[in-house]
Amino acid sequence: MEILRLNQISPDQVIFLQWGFVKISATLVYTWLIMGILIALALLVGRKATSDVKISRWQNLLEVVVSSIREQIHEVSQDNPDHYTVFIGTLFLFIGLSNLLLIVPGYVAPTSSLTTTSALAVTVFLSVPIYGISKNGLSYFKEYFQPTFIFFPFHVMGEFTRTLALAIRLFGNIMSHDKVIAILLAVTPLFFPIVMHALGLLIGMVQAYIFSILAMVYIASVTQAHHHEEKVH
Amino acid sequence: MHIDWFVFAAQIINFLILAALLKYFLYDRIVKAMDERQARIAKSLDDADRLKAQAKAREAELEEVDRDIQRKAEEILNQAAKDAQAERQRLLADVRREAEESRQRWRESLLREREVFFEELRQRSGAFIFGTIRQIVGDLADEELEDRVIGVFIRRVAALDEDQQDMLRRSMDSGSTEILVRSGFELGEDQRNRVVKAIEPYLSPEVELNFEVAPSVGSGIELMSRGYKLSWSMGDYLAGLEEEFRRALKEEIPSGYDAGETVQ
Repeated sequence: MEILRLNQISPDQVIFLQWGFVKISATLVYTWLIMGILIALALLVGRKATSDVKISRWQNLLEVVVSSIREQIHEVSQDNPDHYTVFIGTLFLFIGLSNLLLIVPGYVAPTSSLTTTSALAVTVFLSVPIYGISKNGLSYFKEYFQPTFIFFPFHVMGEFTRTLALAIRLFGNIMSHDKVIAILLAVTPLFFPIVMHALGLLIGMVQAYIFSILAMVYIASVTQAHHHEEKVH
Repeated sequence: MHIDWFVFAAQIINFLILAALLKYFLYDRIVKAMDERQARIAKSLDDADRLKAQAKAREAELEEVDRDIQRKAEEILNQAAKDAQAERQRLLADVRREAEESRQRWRESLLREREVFFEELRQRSGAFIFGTIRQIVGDLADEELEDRVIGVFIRRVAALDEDQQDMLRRSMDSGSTEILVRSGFELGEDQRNRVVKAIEPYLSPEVELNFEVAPSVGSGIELMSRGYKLSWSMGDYLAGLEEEFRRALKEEIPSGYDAGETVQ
């Protein structure tokens, strides 16, 4: 079953239902699938989560994942990971699972849609000032005028470009890999696509890691910078 | 390549919903479980450390108690050994003392028996010897012997030294009206006159001179006035001899004689 034809770049182009403005595209459907898997897993495991020494394998897996995320956050932010776990962790889990499922035939990764990656990049773009203000108050905006006010446009430009880079990087990697696999299947249907799939899993996880770590770095840059300033003063 | 703005908005909302649901169902619960477990493990480790410390303290305490017990046991054993030794010494001393006492009693009893034996021997031999001598003297006594006795008496009166003469005069001048002359045999007239003549120089005229026969005097004669006695008698000699004999017999047993030596 081929959902996304080779000539279709984005799953947005695959529309299952449409009522005027509202379009239920493959992107949304697969996004809901991933959300459903994650929430079901969370419900199943989280409901029986216990602090006993003996725990289920699934709880163990999720504990390993969550504690690894928190460790990474702590390493980057040097701060209490509780504030960032929900946002960064959800980014990682969503993108990671979205990319992992690429090995399932008939699956189309929502992250191969520029719309999805842009939406995620925009949430990062918005979260930076939100975290900055919640952490440092309105003095967060002073960062845009450092070291002098002349740098303000460059700061703003930097915010936009890095957001764009986030979106394009993830989209480009996943989309191109998707296409490469499709083309390779047409050219050499045996063995080689398997290797490329394995490579795809690695690339997918690396991209999920890069996306969430960069998001954390951007957030930490505004919370940490102010910390350093306070220490200097 | 385009961006579908409906999907774009929907994806942002989807992401926010996912984040909210995961926060509630996953992160909070998993993190809480991990924190609780961590706290529990930390508490268990703390408890283990505390128990270990307690166990070590208890071990040290018990070791100390054990050392105390061993030391006390050793002390008790030492004390018991000392007590046993002391008791042994005491019992040995008691036995020695009892043995010594019974030996002493035996020795004293032996000495007493010997004393009694010697006493009896002395008495019997003395009584026999002096009975025999008196018998001999009695058998030999005749007028000639009596004359010699009186002669000896008269010589003794004459041989009195100044002090004795003074004592004799004073006793006779002290108002005594009677002077008794006792003899173991009946004095004849002549013998009485010789005696009177011999003591006349000491006599006052008013003093009465009486003669009396007293067998207790034996073969002898004695002159008695108040507070003074002058006598010569074989009985006296014999009594002196007997006394000397007794003393000599006693001296036969050396004063430092120790019956114990003979016992040993």
